[in-house]
Amino acid sequence: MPISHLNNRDPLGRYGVGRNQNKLVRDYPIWNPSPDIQYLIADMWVLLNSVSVAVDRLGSSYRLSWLWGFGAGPAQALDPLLGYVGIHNKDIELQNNVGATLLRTSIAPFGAELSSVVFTERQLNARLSLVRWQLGGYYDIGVIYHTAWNDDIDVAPQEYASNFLPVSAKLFGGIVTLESTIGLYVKDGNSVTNVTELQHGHNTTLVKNSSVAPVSYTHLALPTNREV
Amino acid sequence: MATSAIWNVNWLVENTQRAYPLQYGPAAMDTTGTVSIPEDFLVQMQITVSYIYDPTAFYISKIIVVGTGFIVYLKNVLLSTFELPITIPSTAADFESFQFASDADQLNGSLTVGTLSSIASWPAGVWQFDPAVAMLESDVVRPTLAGLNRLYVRNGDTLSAPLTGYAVLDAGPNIRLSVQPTATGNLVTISAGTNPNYTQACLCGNGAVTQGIVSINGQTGDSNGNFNILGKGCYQFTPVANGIEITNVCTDPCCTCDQLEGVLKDVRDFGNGAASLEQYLVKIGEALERLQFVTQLNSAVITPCDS
Repeated sequence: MPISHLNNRDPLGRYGVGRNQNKLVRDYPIWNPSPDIQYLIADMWVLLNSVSVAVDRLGSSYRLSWLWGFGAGPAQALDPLLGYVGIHNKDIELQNNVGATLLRTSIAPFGAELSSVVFTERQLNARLSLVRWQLGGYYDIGVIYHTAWNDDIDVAPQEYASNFLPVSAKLFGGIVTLESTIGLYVKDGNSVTNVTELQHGHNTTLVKNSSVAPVSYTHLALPTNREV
Repeated sequence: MATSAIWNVNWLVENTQRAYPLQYGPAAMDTTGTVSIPEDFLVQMQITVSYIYDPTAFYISKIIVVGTGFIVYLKNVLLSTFELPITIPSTAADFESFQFASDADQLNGSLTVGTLSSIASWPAGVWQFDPAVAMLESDVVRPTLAGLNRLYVRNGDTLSAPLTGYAVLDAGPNIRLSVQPTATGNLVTISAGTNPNYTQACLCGNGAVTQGIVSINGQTGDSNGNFNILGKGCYQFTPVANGIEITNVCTDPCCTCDQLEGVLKDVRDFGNGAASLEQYLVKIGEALERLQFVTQLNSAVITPCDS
Protein backbone atom coordinates (compact mmCIF):
# COMPACT_ATOMS: atom_id res chain seq x y z
CA MET A 1 0.00 0.00 0.00
CA PRO A 2 1.47 3.41 -0.93
CA ILE A 3 2.57 5.37 2.10
CA SER A 4 0.69 8.41 0.72
CA HIS A 5 -2.60 6.63 1.38
CA LEU A 6 -1.84 6.35 5.05
CA ASN A 7 -1.65 10.11 5.31
CA ASN A 8 -5.37 10.22 4.63
CA ARG A 9 -6.32 8.14 7.63
CA ASP A 10 -8.00 9.69 10.63
CA PRO A 11 -7.12 8.61 14.17
CA LEU A 12 -10.17 6.38 14.37
CA GLY A 13 -9.37 4.59 11.18
CA ARG A 14 -12.04 6.27 9.09
CA TYR A 15 -11.32 8.53 6.21
CA GLY A 16 -13.21 10.81 3.95
CA VAL A 17 -13.66 9.86 0.36
CA GLY A 18 -12.15 11.54 -2.63
CA ARG A 19 -11.70 15.11 -1.57
CA ASN A 20 -9.85 14.18 1.57
CA GLN A 21 -6.47 15.87 1.24
CA ASN A 22 -5.21 16.18 4.78
CA LYS A 23 -6.37 16.34 8.34
CA LEU A 24 -8.00 19.71 7.87
CA VAL A 25 -10.68 18.27 5.64
CA ARG A 26 -10.70 14.66 6.70
CA ASP A 27 -14.31 15.09 7.81
CA TYR A 28 -15.58 15.63 4.28
CA PRO A 29 -18.46 15.87 3.45
CA ILE A 30 -19.34 17.40 6.84
CA TRP A 31 -17.77 20.61 8.01
CA ASN A 32 -16.44 20.45 11.57
CA PRO A 33 -18.85 17.70 12.66
CA SER A 34 -19.94 17.06 16.23
CA PRO A 35 -18.66 13.81 17.82
CA ASP A 36 -22.05 12.15 17.48
CA ILE A 37 -21.68 11.97 13.67
CA GLN A 38 -17.96 12.41 13.08
CA TYR A 39 -16.36 9.73 10.86
CA LEU A 40 -19.72 8.20 9.93
CA ILE A 41 -20.33 9.76 6.51
CA ALA A 42 -17.71 9.25 3.79
CA ASP A 43 -19.43 10.91 0.84
CA MET A 44 -22.80 12.29 -0.10
CA TRP A 45 -24.80 13.89 -2.88
CA VAL A 46 -28.16 15.63 -2.86
CA LEU A 47 -29.55 16.41 -6.28
CA LEU A 48 -32.78 18.39 -6.40
CA ASN A 49 -35.10 19.35 -9.21
CA SER A 50 -35.32 23.13 -9.29
CA VAL A 51 -39.09 23.17 -9.86
CA SER A 52 -39.72 20.81 -6.95
CA VAL A 53 -38.08 22.83 -4.24
CA ALA A 54 -39.96 25.56 -2.49
CA VAL A 55 -37.92 28.71 -2.84
CA ASP A 56 -38.20 29.52 0.84
CA ARG A 57 -36.49 26.22 1.66
CA LEU A 58 -33.35 27.10 -0.22
CA GLY A 59 -30.55 28.41 1.92
CA SER A 60 -26.95 29.43 1.95
CA SER A 61 -25.96 26.10 3.46
CA TYR A 62 -27.51 22.80 4.48
CA ARG A 63 -27.07 20.34 7.30
CA LEU A 64 -27.93 16.78 8.12
CA SER A 65 -30.53 17.25 10.82
CA TRP A 66 -31.71 13.68 11.37
CA LEU A 67 -30.33 10.20 10.77
CA TRP A 68 -32.27 6.98 11.19
CA GLY A 69 -30.78 3.49 11.08
CA PHE A 70 -27.11 4.29 10.52
CA GLY A 71 -25.94 3.05 13.89
CA ALA A 72 -26.77 0.23 16.26
CA GLY A 73 -26.43 2.24 19.46
CA PRO A 74 -29.31 3.38 21.68
CA ALA A 75 -31.71 5.76 20.00
CA GLN A 76 -31.77 9.33 21.16
CA ALA A 77 -34.92 10.24 23.08
CA LEU A 78 -36.92 12.38 20.66
CA ASP A 79 -40.29 14.07 20.96
CA PRO A 80 -42.79 11.80 19.10
CA LEU A 81 -44.54 14.90 17.81
CA LEU A 82 -41.49 15.62 15.66
CA GLY A 83 -42.25 12.49 13.66
CA TYR A 84 -38.68 11.31 13.44
CA VAL A 85 -39.56 7.70 12.62
CA GLY A 86 -37.98 6.06 9.62
CA ILE A 87 -39.87 4.02 7.06
CA HIS A 88 -36.81 2.70 5.23
CA ASN A 89 -33.81 0.92 6.69
CA LYS A 90 -32.23 4.33 6.77
CA ASP A 91 -33.68 7.81 6.50
CA ILE A 92 -32.37 11.32 6.80
CA GLU A 93 -33.58 14.89 7.00
CA LEU A 94 -31.91 17.96 5.55
CA GLN A 95 -32.40 21.47 6.87
CA ASN A 96 -31.23 24.78 5.52
CA ASN A 97 -29.16 27.31 7.41
CA VAL A 98 -32.21 28.77 9.21
CA GLY A 99 -33.55 25.41 10.32
CA ALA A 100 -36.29 24.97 7.71
CA THR A 101 -36.66 21.40 6.49
CA LEU A 102 -35.54 20.97 2.91
CA LEU A 103 -36.72 17.37 2.73
CA ARG A 104 -37.14 14.26 4.82
CA THR A 105 -36.78 10.91 3.05
CA SER A 106 -39.47 9.30 5.17
CA ILE A 107 -42.06 11.76 3.89
CA ALA A 108 -43.14 12.00 0.28
CA PRO A 109 -42.79 15.60 -0.79
CA PHE A 110 -44.40 17.53 -3.63
CA GLY A 111 -47.70 15.65 -3.34
CA ALA A 112 -46.09 12.41 -4.54
CA GLU A 113 -46.95 8.97 -3.19
CA LEU A 114 -44.60 7.77 -0.48
CA SER A 115 -44.26 4.48 -2.35
CA SER A 116 -42.73 6.46 -5.20
CA VAL A 117 -39.58 6.99 -3.13
CA VAL A 118 -37.17 4.27 -4.24
CA PHE A 119 -34.75 3.25 -1.51
CA THR A 120 -31.70 1.13 -2.31
CA GLU A 121 -28.78 -0.01 -0.21
CA ARG A 122 -25.57 -1.59 -1.46
CA GLN A 123 -22.33 -2.62 0.19
CA LEU A 124 -19.56 -1.07 -1.89
CA ASN A 125 -16.62 -2.80 -0.24
CA ALA A 126 -15.46 -4.01 3.13
CA ARG A 127 -15.58 -0.50 4.59
CA LEU A 128 -18.26 1.42 2.76
CA SER A 129 -21.97 1.15 1.99
CA LEU A 130 -24.24 3.25 -0.20
CA VAL A 131 -27.81 4.18 0.62
CA ARG A 132 -29.83 6.04 -1.95
CA TRP A 133 -33.28 7.61 -2.09
CA GLN A 134 -34.75 8.53 -5.45
CA LEU A 135 -38.07 10.16 -6.23
CA GLY A 136 -38.73 10.17 -9.96
CA GLY A 137 -37.24 13.27 -11.45
CA TYR A 138 -37.63 15.19 -8.17
CA TYR A 139 -34.58 14.25 -6.16
CA ASP A 140 -31.70 11.82 -5.93
CA ILE A 141 -29.85 11.49 -2.62
CA GLY A 142 -26.91 9.23 -1.97
CA VAL A 143 -25.06 8.71 1.30
CA ILE A 144 -21.90 6.62 1.50
CA TYR A 145 -21.12 5.70 5.07
CA HIS A 146 -18.49 3.71 6.87
CA THR A 147 -19.33 0.20 7.99
CA ALA A 148 -16.04 -0.99 9.43
CA TRP A 149 -13.21 0.15 11.61
CA ASN A 150 -9.55 -0.13 10.95
CA ASP A 151 -8.74 -2.67 13.63
CA ASP A 152 -5.02 -2.03 13.33
CA ILE A 153 -5.34 1.52 14.59
CA ASP A 154 -8.62 1.89 16.45
CA VAL A 155 -8.53 1.04 20.07
CA ALA A 156 -11.91 2.49 21.01
CA PRO A 157 -14.34 2.17 18.11
CA GLN A 158 -17.17 4.60 18.11
CA GLU A 159 -20.76 3.54 17.78
CA TYR A 160 -23.61 5.70 16.52
CA ALA A 161 -27.17 6.04 17.73
CA SER A 162 -29.86 4.26 15.72
CA ASN A 163 -31.98 7.43 15.68
CA PHE A 164 -30.52 10.82 16.46
CA LEU A 165 -30.34 14.50 15.68
CA PRO A 166 -26.67 15.36 15.18
CA VAL A 167 -25.51 18.41 17.05
CA SER A 168 -23.50 19.76 14.14
CA ALA A 169 -23.52 18.30 10.64
CA LYS A 170 -23.16 21.15 8.19
CA LEU A 171 -22.51 19.88 4.67
CA PHE A 172 -19.71 21.08 2.47
CA GLY A 173 -20.70 23.37 -0.34
CA GLY A 174 -21.41 21.45 -3.50
CA ILE A 175 -23.02 18.48 -1.78
CA VAL A 176 -26.51 19.87 -2.40
CA THR A 177 -26.98 20.77 -6.04
CA LEU A 178 -29.99 22.14 -7.81
CA GLU A 179 -30.68 20.97 -11.33
CA SER A 180 -32.51 23.42 -13.54
CA THR A 181 -35.48 21.67 -15.06
CA ILE A 182 -38.87 22.52 -16.48
CA GLY A 183 -42.19 21.39 -15.14
CA LEU A 184 -44.57 20.83 -18.03
CA TYR A 185 -48.24 20.92 -17.15
CA VAL A 186 -51.54 20.69 -18.95
CA LYS A 187 -54.27 23.11 -18.00
CA ASP A 188 -57.40 21.19 -17.22
CA GLY A 189 -60.01 23.62 -16.08
CA ASN A 190 -58.53 25.40 -13.11
CA SER A 191 -55.98 22.71 -12.29
CA VAL A 192 -52.80 21.59 -13.97
CA THR A 193 -51.43 18.11 -14.46
CA ASN A 194 -47.80 17.16 -14.76
CA VAL A 195 -46.79 15.89 -18.18
CA THR A 196 -44.32 13.26 -19.22
CA GLU A 197 -45.34 12.46 -22.80
CA LEU A 198 -47.04 14.19 -25.69
CA GLN A 199 -48.84 12.39 -28.49
CA HIS A 200 -50.85 13.52 -31.48
CA GLY A 201 -54.60 13.15 -31.50
CA HIS A 202 -57.27 13.86 -34.11
CA ASN A 203 -56.31 16.14 -37.00
CA THR A 204 -52.83 16.78 -35.60
CA THR A 205 -49.35 15.59 -36.34
CA LEU A 206 -46.39 15.88 -34.01
CA VAL A 207 -43.17 16.20 -35.94
CA LYS A 208 -39.70 15.99 -34.46
CA ASN A 209 -37.42 18.27 -36.38
CA SER A 210 -33.82 19.14 -35.74
CA SER A 211 -33.26 21.34 -38.75
CA VAL A 212 -33.09 24.50 -36.68
CA ALA A 213 -29.76 24.40 -34.93
CA PRO A 214 -29.03 24.09 -32.13
CA VAL A 215 -32.47 23.24 -30.88
CA SER A 216 -34.41 20.08 -31.56
CA TYR A 217 -38.06 20.88 -31.50
CA THR A 218 -41.40 19.32 -32.07
CA HIS A 219 -44.08 21.24 -33.89
CA LEU A 220 -47.78 20.76 -34.00
CA ALA A 221 -49.21 20.71 -37.50
CA LEU A 222 -52.87 21.52 -38.04
CA PRO A 223 -53.16 21.09 -41.81
CA THR A 224 -56.90 21.63 -42.14
CA ASN A 225 -57.29 24.69 -40.00
CA ARG A 226 -57.29 28.24 -41.16
CA GLU A 227 -58.01 31.45 -39.40
CA VAL A 228 -61.09 33.42 -40.45
CA MET B 1 21.11 30.53 8.10
CA ALA B 2 18.69 27.98 6.84
CA THR B 3 15.06 29.04 6.39
CA SER B 4 12.01 26.82 6.37
CA ALA B 5 9.11 27.23 3.99
CA ILE B 6 5.64 25.78 3.63
CA TRP B 7 4.72 25.00 0.07
CA ASN B 8 1.05 25.34 -0.81
CA VAL B 9 0.72 22.31 -3.02
CA ASN B 10 -2.41 22.39 -5.11
CA TRP B 11 -4.97 19.64 -5.22
CA LEU B 12 -4.02 18.24 -8.63
CA VAL B 13 -0.35 17.98 -7.63
CA GLU B 14 -1.31 16.23 -4.40
CA ASN B 15 -3.30 13.74 -6.43
CA THR B 16 -0.16 12.69 -8.32
CA GLN B 17 0.88 10.99 -5.12
CA ARG B 18 -2.28 9.06 -4.35
CA ALA B 19 -4.79 6.85 -6.08
CA TYR B 20 -7.43 9.51 -6.66
CA PRO B 21 -9.57 9.50 -8.79
CA LEU B 22 -9.32 5.74 -8.17
CA GLN B 23 -10.47 4.46 -4.82
CA TYR B 24 -8.14 4.22 -1.91
CA GLY B 25 -6.91 0.64 -1.61
CA PRO B 26 -4.59 -1.87 -3.20
CA ALA B 27 -2.43 -0.77 -6.12
CA ALA B 28 -4.30 -0.84 -9.43
CA MET B 29 -2.49 -3.86 -10.87
CA ASP B 30 -3.64 -5.35 -14.17
CA THR B 31 -5.06 -8.89 -14.26
CA THR B 32 -1.72 -10.35 -15.41
CA GLY B 33 0.25 -8.63 -12.66
CA THR B 34 2.47 -6.90 -15.18
CA VAL B 35 1.65 -3.21 -14.82
CA SER B 36 -0.19 -1.00 -12.34
CA ILE B 37 -1.83 2.34 -13.02
CA PRO B 38 0.63 5.02 -11.83
CA GLU B 39 -0.76 7.46 -9.28
CA ASP B 40 0.48 10.36 -11.36
CA PHE B 41 -1.36 9.24 -14.53
CA LEU B 42 -4.87 10.47 -13.68
CA VAL B 43 -5.30 13.24 -11.12
CA GLN B 44 -8.88 14.34 -11.65
CA MET B 45 -12.05 12.94 -13.15
CA GLN B 46 -15.61 14.27 -12.90
CA ILE B 47 -18.60 12.55 -14.49
CA THR B 48 -22.32 13.20 -14.50
CA VAL B 49 -24.53 10.34 -15.62
CA SER B 50 -28.24 9.55 -15.80
CA TYR B 51 -29.81 8.76 -12.47
CA ILE B 52 -30.66 5.28 -13.69
CA TYR B 53 -26.99 4.35 -13.13
CA ASP B 54 -25.39 3.69 -9.79
CA PRO B 55 -22.68 6.37 -9.61
CA THR B 56 -20.56 4.27 -7.29
CA ALA B 57 -20.21 1.37 -9.75
CA PHE B 58 -17.86 2.83 -12.38
CA TYR B 59 -14.30 1.58 -12.82
CA ILE B 60 -11.46 1.56 -15.31
CA SER B 61 -11.77 -1.78 -17.07
CA LYS B 62 -8.78 -1.58 -19.37
CA ILE B 63 -6.11 0.64 -20.82
CA ILE B 64 -4.94 0.08 -24.37
CA VAL B 65 -1.45 1.34 -25.16
CA VAL B 66 -0.89 2.21 -28.80
CA GLY B 67 1.73 4.23 -30.59
CA THR B 68 -0.41 7.35 -30.63
CA GLY B 69 -1.33 7.26 -26.96
CA PHE B 70 -3.65 5.56 -24.49
CA ILE B 71 -7.30 4.54 -24.57
CA VAL B 72 -8.87 4.36 -21.13
CA TYR B 73 -12.09 2.33 -20.90
CA LEU B 74 -14.80 3.02 -18.33
CA LYS B 75 -17.23 0.29 -17.33
CA ASN B 76 -20.00 -0.16 -14.77
CA VAL B 77 -20.06 -3.27 -12.60
CA LEU B 78 -23.88 -3.26 -12.53
CA LEU B 79 -24.38 -2.80 -16.26
CA SER B 80 -22.16 -5.03 -18.38
CA THR B 81 -23.25 -3.44 -21.66
CA PHE B 82 -21.81 -0.07 -20.72
CA GLU B 83 -18.31 0.68 -21.95
CA LEU B 84 -16.89 4.10 -22.80
CA PRO B 85 -13.44 4.67 -24.36
CA ILE B 86 -11.52 7.86 -23.60
CA THR B 87 -8.56 8.65 -25.81
CA ILE B 88 -5.49 10.35 -24.37
CA PRO B 89 -2.87 11.21 -26.98
CA SER B 90 0.79 10.62 -26.24
CA THR B 91 1.32 14.34 -26.80
CA ALA B 92 -0.83 15.28 -23.78
CA ALA B 93 0.79 17.91 -21.63
CA ASP B 94 1.06 17.67 -17.86
CA PHE B 95 -2.27 18.48 -16.19
CA GLU B 96 -4.09 18.65 -19.51
CA SER B 97 -7.83 17.90 -19.40
CA PHE B 98 -9.95 15.92 -21.83
CA GLN B 99 -13.72 15.90 -22.27
CA PHE B 100 -15.82 12.86 -23.05
CA ALA B 101 -19.50 12.12 -23.42
CA SER B 102 -22.04 9.46 -24.25
CA ASP B 103 -25.44 10.80 -25.26
CA ALA B 104 -27.05 7.38 -24.98
CA ASP B 105 -26.08 7.21 -21.32
CA GLN B 106 -26.64 10.92 -20.70
CA LEU B 107 -23.04 10.94 -19.57
CA ASN B 108 -20.65 13.87 -19.65
CA GLY B 109 -17.27 14.06 -18.07
CA SER B 110 -13.71 15.26 -18.01
CA LEU B 111 -10.43 13.89 -16.79
CA THR B 112 -7.09 15.49 -16.10
CA VAL B 113 -3.80 13.77 -16.80
CA GLY B 114 -1.06 14.36 -14.24
CA THR B 115 1.86 13.27 -16.39
CA LEU B 116 2.50 10.52 -18.92
CA SER B 117 6.08 10.05 -17.84
CA SER B 118 5.35 6.96 -15.72
CA ILE B 119 2.81 5.20 -17.90
CA ALA B 120 4.92 5.82 -20.99
CA SER B 121 7.08 2.88 -19.92
CA TRP B 122 4.19 0.43 -20.37
CA PRO B 123 4.56 -2.05 -23.21
CA ALA B 124 2.04 -1.69 -26.01
CA GLY B 125 -1.01 -3.90 -25.60
CA VAL B 126 -4.33 -4.29 -23.81
CA TRP B 127 -4.16 -4.17 -20.02
CA GLN B 128 -7.27 -5.21 -18.13
CA PHE B 129 -8.24 -4.39 -14.55
CA ASP B 130 -10.64 -5.86 -12.03
CA PRO B 131 -13.18 -3.60 -10.33
CA ALA B 132 -11.61 -4.49 -6.97
CA VAL B 133 -8.51 -2.46 -7.80
CA ALA B 134 -9.73 0.14 -10.28
CA MET B 135 -13.01 1.52 -8.92
CA LEU B 136 -13.51 5.26 -9.22
CA GLU B 137 -14.02 7.18 -6.00
CA SER B 138 -17.69 7.80 -5.37
CA ASP B 139 -17.34 11.56 -5.56
CA VAL B 140 -16.00 11.29 -9.12
CA VAL B 141 -19.41 10.31 -10.50
CA ARG B 142 -22.58 12.20 -9.72
CA PRO B 143 -26.07 11.48 -11.01
CA THR B 144 -28.16 13.89 -12.99
CA LEU B 145 -31.93 13.90 -12.94
CA ALA B 146 -31.84 14.16 -16.72
CA GLY B 147 -35.29 15.63 -16.85
CA LEU B 148 -36.66 18.12 -19.31
CA ASN B 149 -34.63 21.25 -18.73
CA ARG B 150 -35.52 23.51 -21.63
CA LEU B 151 -38.64 24.10 -23.70
CA TYR B 152 -38.82 26.17 -26.86
CA VAL B 153 -41.92 27.43 -28.64
CA ARG B 154 -41.74 27.99 -32.36
CA ASN B 155 -44.21 30.08 -34.35
CA GLY B 156 -43.31 30.20 -38.02
CA ASP B 157 -39.71 31.28 -38.14
CA THR B 158 -39.77 32.72 -34.63
CA LEU B 159 -38.20 30.58 -31.96
CA SER B 160 -38.78 31.52 -28.35
CA ALA B 161 -36.15 31.92 -25.70
CA PRO B 162 -35.61 28.74 -23.69
CA LEU B 163 -38.34 28.29 -21.12
CA THR B 164 -37.55 26.96 -17.67
CA GLY B 165 -39.52 26.67 -14.47
CA TYR B 166 -43.19 25.95 -14.99
CA ALA B 167 -44.79 25.74 -18.43
CA VAL B 168 -48.48 25.05 -18.91
CA LEU B 169 -50.05 23.64 -22.07
CA ASP B 170 -53.38 25.39 -22.57
CA ALA B 171 -55.92 24.37 -25.19
CA GLY B 172 -56.74 27.24 -27.52
CA PRO B 173 -59.63 27.45 -30.02
CA ASN B 174 -60.44 24.15 -31.70
CA ILE B 175 -57.77 22.30 -29.70
CA ARG B 176 -58.50 19.71 -27.08
CA LEU B 177 -55.92 18.36 -24.62
CA SER B 178 -56.54 15.15 -22.75
CA VAL B 179 -54.40 13.63 -20.02
CA GLN B 180 -54.15 9.93 -19.28
CA PRO B 181 -52.10 8.53 -16.39
CA THR B 182 -49.47 6.00 -17.42
CA ALA B 183 -47.09 3.76 -15.54
CA THR B 184 -44.34 6.33 -15.81
CA GLY B 185 -46.30 9.56 -15.55
CA ASN B 186 -48.90 11.09 -17.81
CA LEU B 187 -49.70 10.98 -21.49
CA VAL B 188 -51.08 14.12 -23.09
CA THR B 189 -53.00 13.83 -26.34
CA ILE B 190 -53.39 16.90 -28.52
CA SER B 191 -56.44 16.85 -30.80
CA ALA B 192 -57.79 19.44 -33.21
CA GLY B 193 -61.48 19.96 -33.94
CA THR B 194 -62.93 18.61 -37.19
CA ASN B 195 -64.40 21.97 -38.15
CA PRO B 196 -62.17 23.26 -40.95
CA ASN B 197 -62.97 26.83 -40.06
CA TYR B 198 -60.58 27.88 -37.39
CA THR B 199 -62.31 30.21 -34.99
CA GLN B 200 -60.51 32.49 -32.67
CA ALA B 201 -61.72 34.00 -29.45
CA CYS B 202 -62.94 37.58 -29.73
CA LEU B 203 -60.34 40.15 -28.85
CA CYS B 204 -61.17 43.45 -27.22
CA GLY B 205 -59.35 46.65 -28.03
CA ASN B 206 -56.67 45.96 -25.48
CA GLY B 207 -56.13 42.50 -26.89
CA ALA B 208 -57.67 40.69 -23.98
CA VAL B 209 -59.79 37.67 -24.76
CA THR B 210 -63.29 38.28 -23.50
CA GLN B 211 -65.68 35.77 -22.11
CA GLY B 212 -68.58 34.89 -24.36
CA ILE B 213 -72.21 35.81 -23.52
CA VAL B 214 -73.35 33.50 -20.75
CA SER B 215 -76.84 34.94 -20.05
CA ILE B 216 -79.35 37.49 -21.29
CA ASN B 217 -81.40 39.24 -18.63
CA GLY B 218 -80.25 36.54 -16.27
CA GLN B 219 -81.47 33.71 -18.51
CA THR B 220 -78.90 31.13 -19.62
CA GLY B 221 -78.95 28.73 -22.55
CA ASP B 222 -79.57 25.00 -22.51
CA SER B 223 -76.90 22.34 -22.03
CA ASN B 224 -75.62 23.01 -25.54
CA GLY B 225 -75.50 26.72 -24.97
CA ASN B 226 -78.50 27.40 -27.21
CA PHE B 227 -80.70 30.35 -26.34
CA ASN B 228 -84.13 30.71 -28.08
CA ILE B 229 -85.86 34.05 -28.73
CA LEU B 230 -89.61 33.63 -29.43
CA GLY B 231 -92.01 36.20 -30.86
CA LYS B 232 -95.27 37.19 -29.19
CA GLY B 233 -98.15 39.56 -30.20
CA CYS B 234 -97.17 41.72 -33.11
CA TYR B 235 -93.49 40.57 -33.06
CA GLN B 236 -92.05 37.82 -35.19
CA PHE B 237 -88.40 36.58 -35.22
CA THR B 238 -87.21 35.06 -38.46
CA PRO B 239 -83.75 33.44 -38.87
CA VAL B 240 -81.87 34.91 -41.77
CA ALA B 241 -78.31 34.47 -42.95
CA ASN B 242 -75.97 35.48 -40.11
CA GLY B 243 -78.78 37.07 -38.11
CA ILE B 244 -82.37 37.31 -36.99
CA GLU B 245 -85.04 39.48 -38.67
CA ILE B 246 -87.43 41.12 -36.22
CA THR B 247 -90.86 42.02 -37.66
CA ASN B 248 -93.77 43.97 -36.13
CA VAL B 249 -96.68 42.56 -38.06
CA CYS B 250 -99.09 45.15 -36.66
CA THR B 251 -97.40 47.99 -38.46
CA ASP B 252 -97.23 46.38 -41.87
CA PRO B 253 -98.82 48.54 -44.71
CA CYS B 254 -102.36 47.45 -45.90
CA CYS B 255 -101.85 48.29 -49.59
CA THR B 256 -99.58 46.80 -52.15
CA CYS B 257 -97.08 48.85 -54.11
CA ASP B 258 -99.30 48.77 -57.21
CA GLN B 259 -102.20 50.10 -55.23
CA LEU B 260 -100.06 52.74 -53.66
CA GLU B 261 -98.78 53.64 -57.14
CA GLY B 262 -102.41 54.30 -58.27
CA VAL B 263 -103.11 56.38 -55.22
CA LEU B 264 -99.93 58.27 -55.80
CA LYS B 265 -100.93 58.90 -59.43
CA ASP B 266 -104.36 60.18 -58.32
CA VAL B 267 -102.74 62.45 -55.79
CA ARG B 268 -100.43 63.76 -58.45
CA ASP B 269 -103.37 64.22 -60.88
CA PHE B 270 -105.32 65.98 -58.15
CA GLY B 271 -102.38 68.24 -57.56
CA ASN B 272 -102.06 68.94 -61.23
CA GLY B 273 -105.85 69.62 -61.45
CA ALA B 274 -105.68 71.94 -58.53
CA ALA B 275 -102.93 73.87 -60.23
CA SER B 276 -104.96 74.12 -63.44
CA LEU B 277 -108.03 75.17 -61.50
CA GLU B 278 -106.05 77.84 -59.75
CA GLN B 279 -104.82 79.14 -63.09
CA TYR B 280 -108.39 79.04 -64.42
CA LEU B 281 -109.67 80.99 -61.42
CA VAL B 282 -106.97 83.57 -62.00
CA LYS B 283 -108.08 83.92 -65.58
CA ILE B 284 -111.73 84.19 -64.50
CA GLY B 285 -110.77 86.90 -62.02
CA GLU B 286 -108.91 88.78 -64.66
CA ALA B 287 -111.92 88.48 -67.03
CA LEU B 288 -114.26 89.76 -64.33
CA GLU B 289 -111.99 92.70 -63.72
CA ARG B 290 -112.02 93.55 -67.44
CA LEU B 291 -115.80 93.14 -67.60
CA GLN B 292 -116.30 95.39 -64.64
CA PHE B 293 -114.10 98.05 -66.25
CA VAL B 294 -116.05 97.96 -69.51
CA THR B 295 -119.33 98.19 -67.66
CA GLN B 296 -118.22 101.26 -65.74
CA LEU B 297 -116.94 102.87 -68.92
CA ASN B 298 -120.23 102.36 -70.72
CA SER B 299 -122.18 103.91 -67.85
CA ALA B 300 -120.07 107.04 -67.89
CA VAL B 301 -120.39 107.63 -71.63
CA ILE B 302 -124.13 106.91 -72.04
CA THR B 303 -125.59 108.94 -69.14
CA PRO B 304 -124.42 112.52 -70.10
CA CYS B 305 -125.45 112.23 -73.67
CA ASP B 306 -129.04 111.25 -72.81
CA SER B 307 -129.58 114.00 -70.22
